[in-house]
Amino acid sequence: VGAPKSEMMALQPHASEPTAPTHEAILAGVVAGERWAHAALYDQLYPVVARTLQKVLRDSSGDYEDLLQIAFERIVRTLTGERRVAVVSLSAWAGSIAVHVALDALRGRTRERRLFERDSAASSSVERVAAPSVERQLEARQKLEWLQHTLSRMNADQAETLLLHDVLGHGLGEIASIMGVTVAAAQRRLSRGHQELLRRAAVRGVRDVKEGK
Amino acid sequence: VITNPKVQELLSPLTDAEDDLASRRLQVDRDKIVSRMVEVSLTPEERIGSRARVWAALVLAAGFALATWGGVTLWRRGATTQSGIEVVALRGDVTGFRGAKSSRLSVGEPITLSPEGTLETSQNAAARIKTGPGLEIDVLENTKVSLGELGAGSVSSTLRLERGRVRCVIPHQPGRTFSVVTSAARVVDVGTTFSVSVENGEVGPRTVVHVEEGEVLVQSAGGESRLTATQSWTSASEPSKPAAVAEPIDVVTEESPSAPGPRHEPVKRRRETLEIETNLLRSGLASEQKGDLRGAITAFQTLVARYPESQLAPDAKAALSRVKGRLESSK
Repeated sequence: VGAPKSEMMALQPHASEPTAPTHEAILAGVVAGERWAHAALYDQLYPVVARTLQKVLRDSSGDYEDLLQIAFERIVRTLTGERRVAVVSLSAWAGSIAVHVALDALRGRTRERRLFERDSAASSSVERVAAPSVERQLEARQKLEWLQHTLSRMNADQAETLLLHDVLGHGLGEIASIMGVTVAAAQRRLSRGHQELLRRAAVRGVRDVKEGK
Repeated sequence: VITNPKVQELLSPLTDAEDDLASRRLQVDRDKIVSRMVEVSLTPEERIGSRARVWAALVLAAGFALATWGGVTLWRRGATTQSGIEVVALRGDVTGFRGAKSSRLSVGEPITLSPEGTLETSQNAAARIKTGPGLEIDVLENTKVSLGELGAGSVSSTLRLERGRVRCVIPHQPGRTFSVVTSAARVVDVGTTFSVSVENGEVGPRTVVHVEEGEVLVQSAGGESRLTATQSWTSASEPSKPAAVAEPIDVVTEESPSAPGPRHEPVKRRRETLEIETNLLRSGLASEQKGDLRGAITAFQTLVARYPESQLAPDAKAALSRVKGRLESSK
């Protein structure tokens, strides 16, 4: 009595108003193989999975949808498999799975690139004679390719930690929880990842100087 | 953690770029991905790692080479677990069904079958399944079996043979029974090795039982027959119908002359009607006591249908009603 109208409405929600399923209900539904639960899981995790894939892979290559599907397959397998994991933050955990998928894709690209190294060398010589404005774009492109190549060749745990922390903005505590290690171990991985990245950049710098780039 | 500016600069190609989720979302087929997610969660054989996939590919390649070279049949054994229904060996096309969903089983993958499912083999295919208590069943070619009552934990296990042939190696375990049920008969094992097949006759399918070792009890519409090693039993051909529950049919314990395969002395047991009626009632009550409600229903229905004038018919009807009620409530 005497409560504002808006408060009364809040106390008596409309019976037909649909309520979003809880995390527990979605996970139980996924384990039971129910489609609505999979759809709800997809809708809930799509932003983080898609953003992670885009952040790491950048370009809109044709395999984007395939990678998205692979990420969601891994998520479902892990949630329903015999060795289920205890997930504290579903969103952060899904992001780490997407990082795995993205790094796997980068490793695949690196392998392919090795096969076509000669073609790549030819295209880079064509790039160097392009106009200055185009040259800047090409330079940015080459930086991205170098970074992705380096991440794909680095120790997987270090690369994952580096991406989760520096690119996706997760804290060390969260990363430790996702990866199942202590905070100190996560910090060590991050630190070694940084050192490895700098070391590879230094090696590249020396090589560029030698090649007169 | 403060990241080194040099590291930040190196990572800038990834950190500086804008997200473009909205336009990407339009390019993704959400339904397709969700369907695939459902498929993955319902398909146990999909839950394998890359190492298992490599092994599966190697095993398949080796199998193909062997088959081409010498026509050697390839059997691969997988790991067994303590519970559930495990496929431990495979040959050819074998498909597992769970409801409307089917999945082809592959060599090299650990496979645990759904207890609600069925298993179907094609021509030249076979599968060996194993359950927790040590039952080992070879599902031979062109065979379809229902696994619904092959529970590892129950006192009585039942395999429903809809068509084709199975060979069973059953360790003797006091207090535990195993049966193979066809539309014509229930073959109750007493610790033995035997095979049951549903063959296509001129009129319809008929059930053939052959004992290799030990002893089995064959319960059919006409009563019970006890078979020992090397003996066979053949039912009459019956009209085609679903094999879920054995229906009352004419009793034929004589061997069919057209039946293929080795045949031995058939068991011929001419019984007085009263003895058959008593046995049917007793069998139904025993099945009920063991928790085998479908078996009990079969026995009671047979008694009521074949001998409606029997003095035992009212008891059988009452028992039938009771067991059906229990079956309904258990569902």
